[in-house]
Amino acid sequence: MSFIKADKISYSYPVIDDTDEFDSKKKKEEETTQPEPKKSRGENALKEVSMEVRQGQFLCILGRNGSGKSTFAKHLNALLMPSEGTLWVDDIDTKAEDQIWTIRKTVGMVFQNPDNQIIGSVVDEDVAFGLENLGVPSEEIQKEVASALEGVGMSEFAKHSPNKLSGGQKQRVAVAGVLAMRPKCIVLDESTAMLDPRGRREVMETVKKLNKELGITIISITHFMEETLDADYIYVMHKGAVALQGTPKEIFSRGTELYALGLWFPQIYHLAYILREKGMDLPDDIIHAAELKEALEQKKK
Amino acid sequence: MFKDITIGQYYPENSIVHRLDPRVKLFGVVVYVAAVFIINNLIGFIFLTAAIVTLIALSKVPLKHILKGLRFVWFLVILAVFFNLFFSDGTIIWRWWIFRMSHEGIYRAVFFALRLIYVIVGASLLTYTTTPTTLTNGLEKVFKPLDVIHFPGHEIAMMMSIALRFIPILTEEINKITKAQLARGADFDTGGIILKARGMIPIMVPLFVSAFRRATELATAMEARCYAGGTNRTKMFPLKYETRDKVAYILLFVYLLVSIGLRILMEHFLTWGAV
Amino acid sequence: MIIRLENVNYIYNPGTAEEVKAISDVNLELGGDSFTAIIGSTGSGKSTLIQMLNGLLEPSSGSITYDGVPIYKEGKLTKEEKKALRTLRCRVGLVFQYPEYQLFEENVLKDVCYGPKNLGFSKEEQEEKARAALSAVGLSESLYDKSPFEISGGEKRRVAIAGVLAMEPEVLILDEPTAGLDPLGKSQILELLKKYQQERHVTVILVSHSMEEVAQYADRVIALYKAKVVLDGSTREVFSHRKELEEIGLGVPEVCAFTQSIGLGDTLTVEEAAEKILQMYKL
Repeated sequence: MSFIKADKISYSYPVIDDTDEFDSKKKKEEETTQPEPKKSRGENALKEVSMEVRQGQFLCILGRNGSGKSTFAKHLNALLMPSEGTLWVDDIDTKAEDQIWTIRKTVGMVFQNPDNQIIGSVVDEDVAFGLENLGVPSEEIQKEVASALEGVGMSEFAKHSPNKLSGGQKQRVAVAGVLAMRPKCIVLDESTAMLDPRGRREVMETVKKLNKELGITIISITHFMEETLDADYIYVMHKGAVALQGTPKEIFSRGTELYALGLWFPQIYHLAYILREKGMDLPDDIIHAAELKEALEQKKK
Repeated sequence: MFKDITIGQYYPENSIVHRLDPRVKLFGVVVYVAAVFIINNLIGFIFLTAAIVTLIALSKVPLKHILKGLRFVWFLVILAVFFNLFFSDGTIIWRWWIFRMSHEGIYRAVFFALRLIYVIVGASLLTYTTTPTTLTNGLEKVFKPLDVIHFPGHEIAMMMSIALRFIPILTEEINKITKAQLARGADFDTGGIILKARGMIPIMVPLFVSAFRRATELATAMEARCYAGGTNRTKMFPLKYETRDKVAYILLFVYLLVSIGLRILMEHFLTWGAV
Repeated sequence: MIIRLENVNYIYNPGTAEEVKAISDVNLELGGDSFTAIIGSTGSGKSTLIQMLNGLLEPSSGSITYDGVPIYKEGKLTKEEKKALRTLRCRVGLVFQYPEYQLFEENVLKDVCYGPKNLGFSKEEQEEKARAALSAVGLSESLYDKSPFEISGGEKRRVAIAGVLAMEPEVLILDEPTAGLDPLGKSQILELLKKYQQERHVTVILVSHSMEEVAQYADRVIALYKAKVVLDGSTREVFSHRKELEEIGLGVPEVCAFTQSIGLGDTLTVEEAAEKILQMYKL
């Protein structure tokens, strides 16, 4: 039984009323210049996207900027509803309006900019925000907040101001804010894009731990190829549709197809790829350094 | 330019003033502001000074920090003093063109400046010792009875708390944008007022664009975390009155009575020092 | 052009409890025909250093000169002196992180004209420089009269870089110009910078967290750690100090670590590593 199931969902951003002055001006400009290369209003941001995610999976969604990844992510906790098709989260149709809070509790979102998603002025107050919204009794909130902060390794910062934390720490606070609601799934919408390598490691290690220890499903949207190597499954999106899907090995073995989708190989895979091109007989699913080393050593013999 | 705006920013400390219930502190500010305007003589101000100095000492917020925060309101104080000093009627002691200085004007200017500074110090002590969220909780509770007339107490409180949280972020943003434009050869120093104001456009436009973007993202993040306005919300740390809060209420009442008493006393029995 | 730093220190909040030494006794010579990378983990002093290089921050002590001319003057300056210093400092262009947040004009071309306009060029000259810069960053002409707020993220980034290029700096410093872009967007930016550097023989200084990027594009690498320059040399030389780099929280590109692990020494790019391996297997 799948935990998340998207059945041919399409979405187009609503067309804004043209009586808006700024907008009509924009429209005029559009008419005088060439057609917009990027998404224009009314065009589908998602085109018949079908996906399936099992409970406990670590899933990655890749794709260029503007490929529809974030639009899809916003569907997962009912911030957006599909214009066509159906999306089930934990067997609930996301269009069911009376279930919206259940869905948002089940699927938590962590966004890109750490500063624009922290609401509280003290770390623990921020982590409590979601539970307060859900009307959870005070004692329970205190317990959940403490254990969520523990879960992301930020307990000692409970009484700190978020402004003084590093980027990686802020994102861990954001993860804790979601974790406190005991979600079954956490969606990371390019949550590591603005972090330095250390912050990125902190956040990825934290969510991997949550995935392993608590069995929380992780859906990570990212540009960093190295973050996808340990994923259970990868979807690659392009122009609003799913262009490729498979395990990391399957995806990376698609070779030059990835370039066309604006993606890059991880270095070791790239190295093995070139060696194969030059006539070296190597397995075509090498992505880790250890695998390449072993393959090369076997050749020596 | 907008570097380190300290006024209004929570100053973490573990003092009795910090621990007081925000409702008590809000009531305290009301009483204090009332007292500032009730008092009209030097003895009253000495009394007031003693009160605020005691509070600052209790709060453990360094006096230096509070004075640093005042830097941004000097302009307001000077403006107010200027108008009171040169445009008050009464026993004129000096006159030139449209300016006139009077005995009463001098008094009024001095007292006006004092009152303004006292009010700002008192009000900022509230925000120094209370986290925006606690303050929000307090305000929300205070406004709660007004729900019947659909007064948006929760919304106002929420807006205030978000505004306070974003002050340092936007301050940093202004610094960043200013530097970026300086690196493009911008000149924010020379030129008259109009040129200077026009020179601000390269800072203001990106700032507004960024503020709107942040607002949109924040709204999405709040929605994603199940925010749906103030109804049915609970609190991690609900407000509860402790003994110290009750004591504080009594002290505040006494203080208010003394202030009123002092003024009546002064007006009836003494004539010096009154405005 | 050569930027020389002598005994430069920078201290934030001097004399207070929050005193931080961001740059400590740095001696450095930058410039020439070079693609230089500055690396260092967050808080190592990189951003303070690059802001001093074009006069945005004045060193607490020490001197900074461009071809021997100091970029700071003591005492009270006249308007003309201030202006002369400003023009001088514009020989070094600085592109901040997420530079698209500095765009403000009503169209792309006008925004790029802002720099040359501040330098006092005539309207025709401004436009000429702006157009040259926009074509250097590979932006299609159809976008010139668009609002900078309605083009895509990658395009905005390029407009912002063009905004600095239009001032024709002899040294161009970029603070993580590829942050937040997708892989294709990243390589487009880096390629255009490389091309710009090679065509004009100017200095490009890249601040980056990605060792892969640095290894592939830079010819000189400067590593900062705790406010000091700890490594400075050719890219190959610096990446041969794997242990030291790991100690300061950086490391070497994955492919370099790999060739070292199989006894093939340092490699900077995937292509180079492939060649070495093929040689070893005589293919």
